[in-house]
Amino acid sequence: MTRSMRSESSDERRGSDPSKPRGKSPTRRPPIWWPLFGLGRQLTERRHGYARAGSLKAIDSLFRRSLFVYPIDVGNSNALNIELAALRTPQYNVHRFGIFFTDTPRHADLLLVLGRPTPKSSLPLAETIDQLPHPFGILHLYEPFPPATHLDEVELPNLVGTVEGTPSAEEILGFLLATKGGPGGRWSASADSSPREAPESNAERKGERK
Amino acid sequence: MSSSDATGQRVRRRRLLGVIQADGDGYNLVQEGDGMSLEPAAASEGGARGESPTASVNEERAAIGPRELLADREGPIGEAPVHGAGVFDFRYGPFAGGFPEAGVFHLSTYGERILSCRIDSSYKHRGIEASMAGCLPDEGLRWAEAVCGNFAFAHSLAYCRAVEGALGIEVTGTDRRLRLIGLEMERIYNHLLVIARLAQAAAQKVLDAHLSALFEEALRLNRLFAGSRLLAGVNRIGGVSPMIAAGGAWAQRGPADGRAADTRPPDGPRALERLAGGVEVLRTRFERLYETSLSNRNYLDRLHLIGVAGAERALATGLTGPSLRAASDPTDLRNAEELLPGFAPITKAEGDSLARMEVRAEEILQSCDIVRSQIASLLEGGSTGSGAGASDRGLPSPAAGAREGRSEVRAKALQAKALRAAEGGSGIGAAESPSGTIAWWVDLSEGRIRRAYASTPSLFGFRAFAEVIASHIFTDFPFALESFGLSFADAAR
Amino acid sequence: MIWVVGAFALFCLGALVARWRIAAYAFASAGSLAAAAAGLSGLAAPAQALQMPFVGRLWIGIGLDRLSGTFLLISSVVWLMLSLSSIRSGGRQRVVTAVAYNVAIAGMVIVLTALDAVTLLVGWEIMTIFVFLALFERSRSERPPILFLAFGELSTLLLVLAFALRFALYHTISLRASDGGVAFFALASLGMIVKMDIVPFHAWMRRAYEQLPGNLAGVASVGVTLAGVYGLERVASIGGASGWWPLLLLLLGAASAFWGALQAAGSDGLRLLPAYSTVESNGLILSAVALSLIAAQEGGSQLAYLASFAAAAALTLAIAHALAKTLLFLSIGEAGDALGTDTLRETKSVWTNVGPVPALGIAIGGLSLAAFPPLIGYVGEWMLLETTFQAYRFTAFAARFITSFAGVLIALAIGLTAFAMVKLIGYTVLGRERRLLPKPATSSWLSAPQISLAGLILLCGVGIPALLPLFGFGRLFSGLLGVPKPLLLVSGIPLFGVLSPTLFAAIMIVLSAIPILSWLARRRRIRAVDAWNGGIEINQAESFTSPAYTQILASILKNVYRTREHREGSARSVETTDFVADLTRPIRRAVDSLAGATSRLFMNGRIAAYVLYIVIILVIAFVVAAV
Repeated sequence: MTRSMRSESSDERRGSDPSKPRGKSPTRRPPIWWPLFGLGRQLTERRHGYARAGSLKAIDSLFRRSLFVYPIDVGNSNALNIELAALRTPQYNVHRFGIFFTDTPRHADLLLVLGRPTPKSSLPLAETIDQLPHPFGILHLYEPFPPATHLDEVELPNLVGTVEGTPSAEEILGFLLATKGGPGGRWSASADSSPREAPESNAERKGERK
Repeated sequence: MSSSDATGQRVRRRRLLGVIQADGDGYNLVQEGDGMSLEPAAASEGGARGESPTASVNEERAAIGPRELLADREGPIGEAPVHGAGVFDFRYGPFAGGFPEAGVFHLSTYGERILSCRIDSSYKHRGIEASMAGCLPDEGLRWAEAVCGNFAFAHSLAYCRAVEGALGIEVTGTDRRLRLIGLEMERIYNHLLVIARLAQAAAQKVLDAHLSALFEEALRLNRLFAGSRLLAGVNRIGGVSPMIAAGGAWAQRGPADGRAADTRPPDGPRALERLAGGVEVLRTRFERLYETSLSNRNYLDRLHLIGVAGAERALATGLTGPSLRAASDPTDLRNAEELLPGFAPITKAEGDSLARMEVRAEEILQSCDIVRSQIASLLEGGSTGSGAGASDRGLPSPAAGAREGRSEVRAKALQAKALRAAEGGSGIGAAESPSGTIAWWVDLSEGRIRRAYASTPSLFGFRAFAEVIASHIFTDFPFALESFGLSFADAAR
Repeated sequence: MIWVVGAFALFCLGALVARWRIAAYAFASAGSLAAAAAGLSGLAAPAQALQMPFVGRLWIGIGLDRLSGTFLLISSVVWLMLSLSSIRSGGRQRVVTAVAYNVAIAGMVIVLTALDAVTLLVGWEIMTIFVFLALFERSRSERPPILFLAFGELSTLLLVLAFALRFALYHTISLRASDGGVAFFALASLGMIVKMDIVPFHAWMRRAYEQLPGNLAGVASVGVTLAGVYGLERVASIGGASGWWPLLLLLLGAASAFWGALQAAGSDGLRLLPAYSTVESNGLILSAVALSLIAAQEGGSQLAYLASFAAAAALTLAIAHALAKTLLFLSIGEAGDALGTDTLRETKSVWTNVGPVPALGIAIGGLSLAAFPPLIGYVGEWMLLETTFQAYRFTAFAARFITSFAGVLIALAIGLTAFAMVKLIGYTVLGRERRLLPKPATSSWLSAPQISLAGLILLCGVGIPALLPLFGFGRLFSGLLGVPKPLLLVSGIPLFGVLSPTLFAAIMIVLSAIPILSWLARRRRIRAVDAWNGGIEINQAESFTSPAYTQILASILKNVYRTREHREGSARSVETTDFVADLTRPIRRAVDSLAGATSRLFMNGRIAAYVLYIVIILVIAFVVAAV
């Protein structure tokens, strides 16, 4: 899936113990300093283990607390756009991790380039990169198909990662957390949330109950 | 497909879906009734060109459609820019914050009013049809899916049907039912996204959040059904992916596609039962949301009378799908589907953004029902579909049974393929995508693709949008645009 | 008095040597300086006179008092700046323009110093006719100059009627006596405000300002209207300003301010926008004068203070209008001539394509008119609004109600003017032209008038505690809450509102120093990129246009603007109209038919000359009748 990620075997990822809720029963009312506690123990991230891209490098420790992402489509089949739309749904609640989407490169910390650049979008892509404030990072996601040739012509500066495939919204979130640096990104994924579990959504569970 | 004109006489309407230049000759891809055919350009243009003395006959024969647009599909879509004192070109794109895809809207304006609209979709042009030349049909399938990610199922289905037609491959009733389920699942998530975007544009934050959540649920149901959130890799030439046919086996594809392996045994009927349950819940939740949203004047007023594309204009611009059905035209490829007896397309009369939204919303409910009834038919194992033939044996048993059952079908198909491959042939296939008719024409020779042509609904949709947005003000832009459910990737190929 | 005569002589001399334009404008500059000295001497030692017997027991002559001195001083600054800049730009003008310029100003000197009605009327006519002649020479069609003349003569006619009525009643033509009567005041003030472009008598200026050369447009807009304001105050000092008439004037002024601002906001003409802004400014001045009259006629110490405050507001607004509008006409004239454009949408990048001085001139002049603190325009408009806020001090219900209503209109006018000026500055100064033109060669000392006007606008605003006492308004200043004594402008007694532009400027400088210094320090490290527009550079056809900026206003107020959308083939445009100006169409039609009849009568040649004769005959006839 990822050029750089391929080496990582699934066994390694499962090696770490899936963190269980620590001792307390879930029904108990959390103490008032829970946010601080949670941040300190990094509970929110650990329970879900979104990050699976331990090899993506973080941009800058500056963005550990918040990361503003400007996504642009340079010629993907729309699949990545749809997954990104899915990432903005309430299920992921990305603002919780300090991830925000902007509509202009001027406010962006991370440029999310979706797709392989078509001949015509190479120029606006270069202009967009020129507009980014320093420091910035670029994360390039592209589909394995169609195997266009223009990819080699485009040189992306400050590249923090390149991912080939059509990652799901959940995986994109993992990439973003890894890129952000800081707590979320340092963890390798826990086996707690295998893809098998993800589709067992609310809709489905309720359906079974019927 | 047919409608009655003023005299009550039934007229079979002929629609122009594409203009193909092949071997120096021009051919038109024409849809007539439920069938599609490729005919020499002159035959379907006679009346329009006035070449024939019997103009009245030819007028009737002339196919309706935006001929000039189809002649130059890479060129700008829409009207010529307007000039005048203070008029300027408001360029929206290519990387517009509000629209997720790369593409440019050139809006001529002198301030608030949009005077004319010209759309440049070339930023997404990947030359897919040209790249398919010389490919094996199986490789071509990947290309067809790559045209547009959110219509991946409809594109691959239309492509498969075209190749199957060219090679004379029969598809089993089970696979046809599974394909129907996939098509409806794709419709559900796309329609949900369109309505969520409309709600977002109208600043209906709560409605938007609920609909977005349902959209994500629909994607997860897709993964449950097909192992792919966007239903990619489902269709195969001659049927559907054997994994899916076995149900639940999607997980086995994991490592190959970058997804984690799953160790549970394939669990076909269970997965389909869970899918039916999930769709049921989704339907209930959506129905409640939709009914609540219909009581919100603030929301509906933003859509009412925006971007009116009445029946005539819709036909002239080549609109299909929900946008056409919102103008009281019941055209729907599913009308002719044998496995959907008694299918009644949903229509509205007004042809505005509100009507398009309503059609989509009610189609979500309808699609949920179709998915559940098809799953029920599969689980019964009976041959409920008329004309499904002896091969409709219901769902194959999990695991080993699936492979056995399918191997003979597969073998037959390959045999037919080999037979046809020598002489080649061409076929037309179509599918009703969430935004309208997708048609593929494939010309095969010596087992490889010689030429391919895709007629995509977004191309016509953008043409219609460019027309109807004129004389609206900027505020109406998103309500008109999103209601068509268009994609630059689909339009530019 | 010697200065007045000297100024008059110098202007006449300038007209005589008009063949050599530079000499003509040099004499005009010298005349302006003499006029300034005359104004100062009028302020220092009032009641000087130079008289001669006329007919019967009547005397005519010129003289100076405080009011004359005030307006002579303000006007002379404007004349001086216009003349100095004409030395530079006047070389291309025709001889008749230079003659008209000098003689028209000489006429204004007479108006501002006249002791009696006859002298005033003579000056009035000279002023009107010579502006008309210049306009006639420049104009491509006969209609705008004829229209200008028609409204000028309407003004004269009203004044003649007023003074004739007064002569019949009181047997005096002196402007220093105080025996007017309501009918006299009504007619005379109407005559003056016709000259001030007050709505609905502004129809003439639409086309006239577009066709006048920059310096004469300045004279017509600023000089003539200053004469009108002076005339109004002079007539008010004669008396009769009582009853309903000042309230009506207030309504007229407020309506004029509102309408002028609205039309300025809707116009796209490079010279039309400042022209409508003149209508607005004059409306504000008229409102202030009317408020001062209303407050004065009610009596009481509170209201006496308010009357004085309103009079100071009128003066401040007049100064603000004079300085800012002169600067605006000079800068816009220079930019328009250099770029060869006459609409806002074509005039962009004045800074890079014309030069920093006209750009700065448009910016400072526009900001002052848009009431940007601490410029003089801001002080004047604050004073006017403060006066309307104190409507509760009036006892009569009608006065309270109308003042409040006028206050609403004035506030709207100020807002709309800000809109118009943002448009003007935004497009001409800040607007970016993507094709760069060859830069015209300019030398800095020739831009001295514009620079000094910009400086004066700032100085007068900040130095208002020094400026107003010069004209006798020293008691409006006080000190409070740690602000030292003369720095605080007090709007009412008992205390109502206070303002200190001086202190405001000081705080602004201190506060903005930090960011400016830090910017200067880091300037080299700032990376400049193009404006972001979807990833592609904006081209010329994609630039936002000034009609588009107005479109939202034009479509919301489409019943007021009578907005029409034109459609011809693939061309579209929007047009807004000033239907109030069309209300005076009967007058224009009458003028048209009169002009037609005149030319038919004499069959040939230059209508201007004939009309001139007719007017002179008219004046002579009046004088004879008066005897």
